[in-house]
Amino acid sequence: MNFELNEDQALLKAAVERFVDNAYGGDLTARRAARLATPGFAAAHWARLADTGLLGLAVSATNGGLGGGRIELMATLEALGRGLVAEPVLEAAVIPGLLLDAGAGAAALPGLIDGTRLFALAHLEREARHNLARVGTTARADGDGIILDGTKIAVTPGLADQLIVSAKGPDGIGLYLVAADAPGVDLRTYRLADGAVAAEITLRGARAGARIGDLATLLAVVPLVRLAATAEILGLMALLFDTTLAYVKTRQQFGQPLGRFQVIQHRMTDAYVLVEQARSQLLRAVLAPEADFARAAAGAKSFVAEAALSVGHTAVQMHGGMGLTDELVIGHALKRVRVLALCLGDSAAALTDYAAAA
Amino acid sequence: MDMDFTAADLAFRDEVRAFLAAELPQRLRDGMTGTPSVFVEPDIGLEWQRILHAKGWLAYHWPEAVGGTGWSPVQRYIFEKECALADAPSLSVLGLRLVGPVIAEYGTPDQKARFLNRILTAEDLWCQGYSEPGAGSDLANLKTRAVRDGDRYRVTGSKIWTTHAHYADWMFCLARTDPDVKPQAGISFLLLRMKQPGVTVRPIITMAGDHEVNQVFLDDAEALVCDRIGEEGQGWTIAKFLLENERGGGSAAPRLIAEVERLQRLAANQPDGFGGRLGDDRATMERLARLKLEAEALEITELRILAELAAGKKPGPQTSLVKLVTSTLRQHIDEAAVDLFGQDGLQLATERPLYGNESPEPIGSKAAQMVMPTYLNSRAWTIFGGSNEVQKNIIAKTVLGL
Repeated sequence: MNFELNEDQALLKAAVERFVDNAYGGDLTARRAARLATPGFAAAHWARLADTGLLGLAVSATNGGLGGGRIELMATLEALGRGLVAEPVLEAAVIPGLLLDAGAGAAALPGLIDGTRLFALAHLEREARHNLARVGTTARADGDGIILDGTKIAVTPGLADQLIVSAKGPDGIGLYLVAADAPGVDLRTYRLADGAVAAEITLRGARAGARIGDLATLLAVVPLVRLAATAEILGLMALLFDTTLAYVKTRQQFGQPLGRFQVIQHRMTDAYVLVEQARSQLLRAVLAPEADFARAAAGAKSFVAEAALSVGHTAVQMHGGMGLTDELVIGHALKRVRVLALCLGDSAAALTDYAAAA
Repeated sequence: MDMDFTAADLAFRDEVRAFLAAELPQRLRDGMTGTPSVFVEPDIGLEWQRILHAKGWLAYHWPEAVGGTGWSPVQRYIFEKECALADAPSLSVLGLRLVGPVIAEYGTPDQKARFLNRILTAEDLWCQGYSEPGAGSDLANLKTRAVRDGDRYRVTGSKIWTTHAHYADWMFCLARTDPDVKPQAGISFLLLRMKQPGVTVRPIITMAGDHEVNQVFLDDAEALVCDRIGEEGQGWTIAKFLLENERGGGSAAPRLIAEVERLQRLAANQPDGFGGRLGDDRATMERLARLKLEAEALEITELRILAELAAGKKPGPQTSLVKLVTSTLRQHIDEAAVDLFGQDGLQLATERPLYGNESPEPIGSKAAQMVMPTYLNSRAWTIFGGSNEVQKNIIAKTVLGL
């Protein structure tokens, strides 16, 4: 039994941490600047991620990617979370990378891996809430092409130029590549809690490109996506906890550090337990046998997301007024946790999947 | 034993309802529901204040002798409940609820004459100089120094979490006038003008993106001796009087109950993802029902305190109980609200205000646009006015005798 990264995995993690150090350097200045940029992140950072090959993390080696598995996803996303990185690696590299790799989308992968094309999954709909199997957007044949109609919400990154749109046709739910600037595609961009740009996208007679898969393709990648989101959440959770622990050791009130008060000690202990339990749940999913992986990943996402929100609320409370401001990593990390908690469905939906599969 | 209002109380309630229906403009209701921060902006709050002042109902927490309404505690409760149900803007507590009653209780006749009416007319807007970067929960540790110089004090230090300092004409502040006695005994309660060379205001933006609070730097700022409230060294006693007013004595439950009921109505229209509505989702509705139970219990707790006040007792440490329950309950309601709207609940507009013609177009619905900034700002409830940790210490010590 061994819970340590092997040499290659440790090197990957170190490379991600180098990127984080160089791009973000440990304060919020770079994050603010990245968020203020038009797409909601820094194009220069994205190019560097492409240079390191990380945009192809989840893509198989035969399709030109790093062929990362569960452990590599965990190591990378946890480090990105810990570094409070603004670039949407999960949303624009891992999710579309897995989908294009698993389905018939290999032709689009070079543009994703080299960072010249920005992809986003356009799947969620308001009426579907957190049910990933429900799609109201329609696909109909028109001559030798397919025409799409419907509305997709929470498409992230909102300014992607290539969309992977789910739509229901006579032969079931398909995944189609659609250029974001194609006629009949209307974007309304807005900001999410974590500062990312998202879009509500209305398709009115939009012409679909290649069909790269179907609902089964999507559902098959959900466990790995949940694992990746969970890892990023865990990184954020560790950041929240460590920052808060350092603060209560130094912040003086009533003539002593806050951490000398028993009520603070117990609250920090509760948070510590949650972080350790969350890490164990993530590792459990990472190392689960293939047959049990989908269930384990669903359970881990539900457990870790809930735990991280609790630790985030503790972190704000322990920092007092400062925790409420935009000036500390605390608020930024809590907001990112909020967004990740709803990645392809909320904690309750993941819990339902976990319970149903038992 | 009964919980009934008298016929006179019911008649008063009808009068308040009729007044709100006739005099509370929709624009102000929208301003209230479109405000994600704790305080409404002056463009909303001051207009409502003017309407109430014209009616003579503004200073309902003040003694009648200085412009109060002479309402009984029950009437005050009825008024606040009806205002909450009508989405009336919350009134800025800084002048009306905090410094006003202090001046009425501890001020000289001259101070009452100079300050009180200008609070009512909104000629003077106030801010509170209590917390400092090094003195939050440990308020008595405050370092701001006031040195006597003839008929004035020279005040130097820094105050933080100063709500609406960027609008204020005056600050009421706690400053150390005697560094050589035990911390609580060396504090005085001073009033100082914000628009003077020694005062600098730095905005602090919340994680929701709102500018509500500030840090205020005092560098040889002047406070006149004739503007000191009470005696030198009496500041801590006055501060505690004020904090008890800040923490309780109002009625939070009616607004909380109304908010839970609003969520219940909204849930009825939210898709559950399976062709039905969340109104039929057991987990969602049980979560809201639990919040409703707690809010209803809080209402009776508030009425029990009210009955004691009506019987002539002073508000005491039970205000800590109300603050504790209100703050955590409000956070739980705001968390439930975020979850209700699914992905739409994640939107966080950077523009302000979120009401009026210039407000950004919401994604999904106006209600969905409000939940994330409201939730984020709502984390403040368990911190300001004495954190929940401080409230628990007060209850343990003062109520439970531990």
